[in-house]
Amino acid sequence: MSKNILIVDDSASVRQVVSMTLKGAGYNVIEAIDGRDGIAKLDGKKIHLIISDVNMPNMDGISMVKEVKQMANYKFTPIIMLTTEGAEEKKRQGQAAGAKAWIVKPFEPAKMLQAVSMLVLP
Amino acid sequence: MASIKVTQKRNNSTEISFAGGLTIYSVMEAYQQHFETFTFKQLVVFKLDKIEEIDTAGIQLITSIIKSLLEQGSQYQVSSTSEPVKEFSELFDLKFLMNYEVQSSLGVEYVS
Amino acid sequence: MSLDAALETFYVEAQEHLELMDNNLLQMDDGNINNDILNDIFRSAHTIKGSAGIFGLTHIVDFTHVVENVLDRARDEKIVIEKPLIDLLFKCRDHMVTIVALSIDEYKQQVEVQKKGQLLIEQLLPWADEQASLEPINENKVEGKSSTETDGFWHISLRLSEDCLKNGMDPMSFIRFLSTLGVIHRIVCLTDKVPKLVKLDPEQLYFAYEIALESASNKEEIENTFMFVQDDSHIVILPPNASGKDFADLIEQLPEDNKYLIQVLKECGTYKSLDEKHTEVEDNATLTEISTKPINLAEKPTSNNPIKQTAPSKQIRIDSDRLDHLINLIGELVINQQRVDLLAGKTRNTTLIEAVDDFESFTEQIRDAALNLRMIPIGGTFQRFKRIVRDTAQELGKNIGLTIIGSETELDRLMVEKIADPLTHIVRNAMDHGIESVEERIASGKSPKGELILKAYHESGHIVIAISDDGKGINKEGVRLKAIEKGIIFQHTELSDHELFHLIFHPGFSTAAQVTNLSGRGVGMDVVKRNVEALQGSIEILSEAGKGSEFRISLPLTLAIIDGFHVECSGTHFIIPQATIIECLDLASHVEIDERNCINLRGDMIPYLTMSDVFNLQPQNRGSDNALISQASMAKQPKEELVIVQFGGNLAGIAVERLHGEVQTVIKPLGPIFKPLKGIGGSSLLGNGDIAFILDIPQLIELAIDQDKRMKHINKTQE
Repeated sequence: MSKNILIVDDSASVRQVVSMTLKGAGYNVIEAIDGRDGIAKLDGKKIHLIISDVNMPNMDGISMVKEVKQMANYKFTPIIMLTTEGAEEKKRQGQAAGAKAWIVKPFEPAKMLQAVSMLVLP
Repeated sequence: MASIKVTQKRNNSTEISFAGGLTIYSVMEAYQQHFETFTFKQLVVFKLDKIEEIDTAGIQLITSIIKSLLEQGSQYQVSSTSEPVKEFSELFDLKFLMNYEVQSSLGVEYVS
Repeated sequence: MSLDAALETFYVEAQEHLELMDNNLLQMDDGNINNDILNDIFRSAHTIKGSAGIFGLTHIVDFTHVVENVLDRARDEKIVIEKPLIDLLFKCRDHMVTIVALSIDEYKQQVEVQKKGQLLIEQLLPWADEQASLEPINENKVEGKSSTETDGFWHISLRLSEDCLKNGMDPMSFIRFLSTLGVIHRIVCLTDKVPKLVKLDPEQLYFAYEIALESASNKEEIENTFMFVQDDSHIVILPPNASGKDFADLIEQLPEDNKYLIQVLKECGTYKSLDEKHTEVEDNATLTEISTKPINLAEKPTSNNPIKQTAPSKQIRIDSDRLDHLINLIGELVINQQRVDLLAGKTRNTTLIEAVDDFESFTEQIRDAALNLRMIPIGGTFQRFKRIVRDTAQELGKNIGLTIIGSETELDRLMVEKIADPLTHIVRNAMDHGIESVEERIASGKSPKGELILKAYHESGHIVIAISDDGKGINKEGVRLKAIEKGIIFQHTELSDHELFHLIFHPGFSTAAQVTNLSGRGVGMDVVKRNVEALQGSIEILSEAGKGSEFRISLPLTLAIIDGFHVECSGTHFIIPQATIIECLDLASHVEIDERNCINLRGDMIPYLTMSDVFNLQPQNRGSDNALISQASMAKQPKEELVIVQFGGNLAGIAVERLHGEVQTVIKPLGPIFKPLKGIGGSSLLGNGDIAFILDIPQLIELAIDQDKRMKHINKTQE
């Protein structure tokens, strides 16, 4: 059974790259456009990994992480944050909120795939 | 979620069977409902063949149960395991879960 | 989300990297060989290979892998970069351009391409590793001496933070991942810390691990596996050639009992005791402890991502279809705005007219801003010529240098793509026929190195691209004879230099003694001219025997919207591009000279054309709601207006009946029926719904000058 990965990012091209890369490697990918949408998409499914951007409208990444950590069925799901270079404060906040993994944008698809593979194999 | 059945049998053995997913999501509930305070019979038999999903938290719980029963002087036996449990055991070389005989220790013969 | 869209991203990025590689190779070819350039080239190849791998494009991966291997050795200084290798790398890069454009299936069908790849790989082998095996190369070299030993096992000791499980970082995942880097020979899972039930926190991590890993990866790759769990962890990685001392240190650091640990490590099969022989590697270089400093996973944009030539945040990618759509909409907006303008004028409502004026001003700004989006510097195209000139010079055995001037000059995006081929042909032509061989140049007292100049600049609403060389110039007599031979002109036909040179553009024309591979087959120059004209442009030739030649292409700055001047002649509406207008005169008040259509403008003889003559217009007596217009058109001698226009240093006059004033118009290209018509560059829709023809000023000026010369000639012969 394929593992489910949720990608939360307001940029369509980022979602696209992540989606194609991971699907190509055998994962199942669910997309959300912002934090609120991300929470909605969790929807009782088994999610093995969440990849989330930080800056998004409606609900930003860090707020979403905090909320996910309150959800009984998802609080132990590994989360990778997508940050921009030099956004140390955001990274720190993300880690404090419980997102311990991060990838700096712009990222190479191969690297992203590697990071994902370290946390969940397809 | 895990479904756990503890049967205290008349032949002085306790049978613990796990079914479903024994993972970080279910260990706390399992622990609180069944294992926080526990009394073991002389032999504890683990039936693990209905475990559909297992992770480190799940294995740790089983390990802790085994340690506790050993301290009380009981013995244990893993009578059956499912594929996920076999895989995990092999990955980490957890001999005590791959041995279907009655055991009196965790199999770590080191000086402690 | 389609696979096509993601593949598109791959292709665009691959192309950018290939272009970067080309530029870097050119630098090295010029003699700038340094580590930064080598690293850049390596990284480009590495990135292409990696991305291709994601999409399963094995034909690209396999070839690029060998190239990457050679480049890796080069930056490690294991091999020396010399001219033969640079030449070979150029060819490899070109081959990569070919195969990147092919899908796997297409590649499988193209035997020639495969053969070429094979040949190149064989040629690369002397510089590559003995087995350029498919082991992953780590692009970030670790500082200091890393061990080259790959026999034996790595020892990995993991004491991870107790919160790992709560953070979703189950060691199970990491260990599984580790096994993709090699083979886990042995793993000991220490259960010591697991408490009895009464003290258990089920969500905490208690297990510890000692692992023996057989892997050809290097330290950094293995370290990276644990990059997300470094906080509050104690992770030690010992390479296969670690010494007894390293293990002793490790045992010291670990919390468990020493004797116990020794047994565990022995169980792993990696343990070395202190009394074992030390290996050659220094003691202090091998024990690595990972601190809690996180490793950055992705490339740092500033140093490792050379794609962005400008600051990364300052550019965005736009889908070109969307941009075109926007420009179309703005075009329609412009037309509509004109209509509103006209209607407002009729109401004579000053407030409304003022408001519409403001509206016009903003529309103009939006228009200009949008058109600006389509403009890109020609430098990108010019850059490619460095390579072309280099390769062509080599092929011809000539010594030719290229100077580029004005690469920041901007032109419409669409034109950039379409002008490349014509330019290439002209450049090749100049190199082949224009610039002489080294011996010939020395013999005629020139420097042995020929000079080719590519220059671009703006003039009167156009962009001018000039290709000049200091070669032997166009052989006028040779051209003449060839044209006679081909039946293009008669023996006695008299031609100006200008007309003579333009014979080169005639289809089927070629003066090359031998048809070379590059140019001269006679299918070149006429196609060049046609391509330029298809872009509403024109081409001019200047040449001087013995000194050199210059080909000048002028293209309108945009094919979309222009500022024009609306004029009318015999009921037909025309638009003159404002950028070309010098002034407007009343024709009647100027004296004609010698029955030529010429006026004396402050001492200069300016030829002019009457539009009704040029286009054979019949005087119209259309019903018009303006009584004045009907009256004017009934008059015997319509009052004539003269618009003086200029282009390329030449002046001419356009004689029309009425001037209507400034308009902004959207240029619609002409249908095929109008193609043979000289002097018209497009059509446009006026605010009142009429169609107006946009005049092609360079063509008309040419026409005016030629006509005038002919008149002068006729007058002369008549005398």
